[in-house]
Amino acid sequence: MSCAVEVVNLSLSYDFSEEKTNREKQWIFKDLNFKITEGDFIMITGHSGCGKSSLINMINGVIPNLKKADVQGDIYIHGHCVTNSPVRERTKAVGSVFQNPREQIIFDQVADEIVFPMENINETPQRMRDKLNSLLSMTGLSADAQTDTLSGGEKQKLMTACTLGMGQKILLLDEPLANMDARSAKELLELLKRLSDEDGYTVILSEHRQELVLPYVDKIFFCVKSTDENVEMTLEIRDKAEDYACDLSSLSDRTSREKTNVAADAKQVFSVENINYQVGDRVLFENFSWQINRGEEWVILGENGCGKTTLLNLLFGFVRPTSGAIVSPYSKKRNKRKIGYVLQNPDYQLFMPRVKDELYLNASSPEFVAQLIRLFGFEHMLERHPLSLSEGQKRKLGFACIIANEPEVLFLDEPTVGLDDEGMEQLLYALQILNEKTGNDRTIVTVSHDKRAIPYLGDHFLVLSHCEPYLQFCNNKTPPTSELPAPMLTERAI
Amino acid sequence: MKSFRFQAFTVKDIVFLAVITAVTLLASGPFAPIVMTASKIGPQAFAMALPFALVTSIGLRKVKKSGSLLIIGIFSGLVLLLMAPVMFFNQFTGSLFSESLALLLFKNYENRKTVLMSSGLFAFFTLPSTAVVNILAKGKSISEQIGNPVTFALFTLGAIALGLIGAMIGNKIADELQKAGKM
Amino acid sequence: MCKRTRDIHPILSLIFSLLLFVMGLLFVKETWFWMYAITFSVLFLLFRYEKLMLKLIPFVLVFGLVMGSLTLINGSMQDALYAIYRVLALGLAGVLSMSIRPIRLVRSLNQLRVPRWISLGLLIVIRFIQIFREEIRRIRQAIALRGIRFASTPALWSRAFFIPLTVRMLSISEGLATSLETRGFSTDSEGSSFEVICFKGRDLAFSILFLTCLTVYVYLFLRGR
Repeated sequence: MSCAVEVVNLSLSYDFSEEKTNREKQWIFKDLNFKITEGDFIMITGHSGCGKSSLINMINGVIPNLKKADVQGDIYIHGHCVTNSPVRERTKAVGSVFQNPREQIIFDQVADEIVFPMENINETPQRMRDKLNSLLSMTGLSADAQTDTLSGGEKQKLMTACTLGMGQKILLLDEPLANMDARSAKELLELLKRLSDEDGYTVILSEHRQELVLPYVDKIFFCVKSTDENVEMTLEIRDKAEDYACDLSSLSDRTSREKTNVAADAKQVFSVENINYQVGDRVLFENFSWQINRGEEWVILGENGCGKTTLLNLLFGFVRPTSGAIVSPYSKKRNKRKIGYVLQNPDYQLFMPRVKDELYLNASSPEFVAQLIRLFGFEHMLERHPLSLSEGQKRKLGFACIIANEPEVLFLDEPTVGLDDEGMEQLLYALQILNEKTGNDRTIVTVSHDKRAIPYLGDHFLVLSHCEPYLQFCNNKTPPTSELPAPMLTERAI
Repeated sequence: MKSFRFQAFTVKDIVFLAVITAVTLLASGPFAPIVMTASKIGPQAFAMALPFALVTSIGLRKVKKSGSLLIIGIFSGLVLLLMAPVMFFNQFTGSLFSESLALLLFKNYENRKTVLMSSGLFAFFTLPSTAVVNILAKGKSISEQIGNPVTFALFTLGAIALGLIGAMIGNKIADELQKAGKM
Repeated sequence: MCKRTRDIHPILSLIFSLLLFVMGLLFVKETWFWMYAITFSVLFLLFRYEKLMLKLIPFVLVFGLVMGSLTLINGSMQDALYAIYRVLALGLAGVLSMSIRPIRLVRSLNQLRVPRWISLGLLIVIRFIQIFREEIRRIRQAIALRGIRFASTPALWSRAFFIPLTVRMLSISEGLATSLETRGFSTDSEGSSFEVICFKGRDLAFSILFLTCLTVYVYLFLRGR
C-alpha cells in the first residue's frame, strides 16, 4: 500500500508576535512526523482544545488558507507536496466533513445538496445522476427528502455523501459524531469502515468520544501534553485499537455522588400529566406522564431528535404541550428565576465584557463564585473577554454562571460535550458543592449522550425512544446498559 | 491613508455578506409590507434605519472591501424581489448611493467613518427610489407622497439619526468582538 | 435534461409577478379592479396554485385590514379601499413569486450566465433567514434564562441579544464558507448544472393566457384614460 498522507516536521502556532524567535514562540504542536497508508482508518483523539481539529484543518488546507496561523513543515498527499496549495487544489484529493451539518446545508432537497459539489467540479449530468443514485443507496437517504426534516445523524450522513460525491479517496472528518446518538454514530462509522475496508478509502477522523470509534479504527493518534513548555501537544501513535482502553482513571471518587437523604415523601416539583406534543406532523410525546420530586437527579437519555431538549423546554415553559398539563410551582413567573438552565452551546449565554462580570451577574453569594473560580481555574482569566476563551473554557464558564445563581432546579443540556475528563470532573464536583449547600435538596434534570458522564449525572434515568413502549423508566441507580461504555464505567461508577 | 480600490471578494466574504443580509432582512422584515404598500414616503425609511444600519455596519467592519454594501443591497433586493418586485430597486439604489457617497468622501472601509456613513445613510437613500417607483407605479406626485412637509422632514431627519445611531452601535459591537479576537 | 415538473419557469414567474404587481398598483382606482383580481385568481386556480393561494389569504386579509384601517384614520372610505386593493395586488404577485423554488431560480440564473456567487448568495440568504429566526429564538430564550428583561434593563438586554447574535453570525458564516470551499465552490468557476431549466408547453399556455388577460385590462385602462 502506498502512502496517502505524509507529514514532515509539521508545526503550528497562533502566536504572531514578530519579535519572538521560533524557540520562544508558543506552539500548538511542533515537528510532527507521521505517515498514513492508503485504506487506513485513523482516529485522532485527545482532550478538547488539544489541536485535533487544527491537525485535520492543516491537512485539508483550511489552515493557513482560511484561518490565519504560522505553519511550518511539509504535507504530502499521495506523494505530492501540498504545503503551499490552496484549499481548492487540496480538495481534489481530500474530502472534508465538519461539525454542525445544519449550518452547512444550503439546499431544500437532499439530491440538490449531494450534487452541489459535483456541479462545482464540472461533472457531467449523467455522471452526477449515477453517483447520486449510488450515494443515496449507500446512505439510505431519499432524494426528495427535505433537508430541514432530517435528524442530526442524517444531516451528517448527507454531508458525508456530498464529500463522497467528489470522488476523493482521503476523507477527513472533524468530530462528525458530536451531538449524534449512539445508533446514528454507529451507522455513520459502519459506512466509513465499509469505505475503508472495501473501497480503499483513507479515513481520518477526530473524535473525543473514543469508546464509540475504537471498534472501527486501525490506528489511534493520541494527542498528549508535550513535555516542552513552549509546545502544547505531541502525538502518540498507537497501532492496535484493541489494546487501547479509555483512560477514565482521572475521575476521582468525589464524582460518584451518593444521595441518601432524599425524603421518601419529597415534594413534587414537576408533574407532567398526560401531555401530548407534536411539531408539525411529528408526534414527540403522546399521553406522556412523569413526576419529578425535589432532590431527585434525572438523566434523560435517548436517540437524537426524540425530544430530550424539547422535554426540558416543556418543563421550563419555553414551549407548551399541545394538550395535557405540566403542574409545577416553578411555572409561575416569579419562580422561574429559581430554575437554572445550562444550554448546550455557551455562545448563547455569554455576553458580558469580562469573565468576572459574567460570573457575578445574578450571583447569589460572592463566596460561592470565588469557590467556582478556584475550581474551574478562572483566576488568571477574570479580566479576559468571555468570547476569547477556548471552547472548553467557555462551556465551563457558561455552566458556572448559571450555577452561581444557586438555582433550586437545574436543567443541563449536554453539559459535558467537548469537555475532557478533567473538565468533566470539575463540572461534577461543582454540582456536588451546589448540592451540599442545600443538603442535597437540589433537583437536577440532565440531557446527555456522553457515556462517560451518564452514570455520574443522576440516579434516575428516563429513556425516550421512538420504538414501543414509547417511554421506558429506569427508576434504579443503574443507567440502561446500552448507555454505558462497556466495560470500564459499569465497574467503577455504580 | 490608503486610496480607493476594488478587491476581489472571497467565498468567505460572500458567505458572510449573505448571512448579514439574512439577519438584516429578519430585522427589517416586519417593516417590509409597509414599505411595499405605503403611499407616503418617510415612515418606511424611519422604521428600517436602525436595525439595517446596526447589522450592516458589523458586516462592513468584517468585510472591508468596496462594494460590500452593494452586495448586501443586491442580495436583499433579490430576495425581496420574490415577495414584492419593486423592493429590489429600493434596496439596490439605497445601497449604491450610500456606499458610493461614503467611498467618495472617505476612500475605503479602513476608515471607520466610511462604515458609519455607508450603513447609516442607507435608509435615507432608499427615499428617492421609493418616490420614483410611487410616481411610476401609483401615479403619485412628489407633493402627494410627501404630504405634510414638517412630518416628512421629521421622518427623514429621524431616519438619518437612527441610521447613524445604529451604525455606531454596530461599530461598538465590532470593536468589542475584535478585542476578543472574534472578528 | 429537463425535469418533469408542474412549476412554471422561474424567470417567467418572476417577470409575470412584477407585471401583476405594477399593473395592480396602476389599476387600484379603476372600478373593475375586483374583476382584475378575480381573473388572475381563476388563472392561478387553473394552473393548480390553490395551496399557495390558501397560504396567502390570511396575510392579505390581516394586512389588508390593517392598512385599510390605518388609511381610514387620515383618509376617506375610498382611500381605505384603495389601500386594501394594493395589498391584494401584492398578494396576487406573491402567488407567482412565492411559487418559485429557490434552487430552480438559481439554476435558471446560472443558465443566464449570472455569476454563481450571486446565485449562491441568494440561496444562502433564503436558507439562513430560517436558521437565524431559530437562532434569535434561542438567544431570546438564553436571555430569559439569565433573568434579564428588556423592560427593566434595556441596555443589558440589548447587549445580551446583539453580542451572541454577532458571534453566531461569525461562527456560522465561517463554518459555512469552509464547508463550501472544501466542497469545491469557488467564485471564479462556472461549474456544471445537474438540471436544465427549460421552457415547456405548460409555460407557453400560461404565458398566452396571462398576457391575453393582462392586455385586456391594459386596454380597459387606456380606454378609460
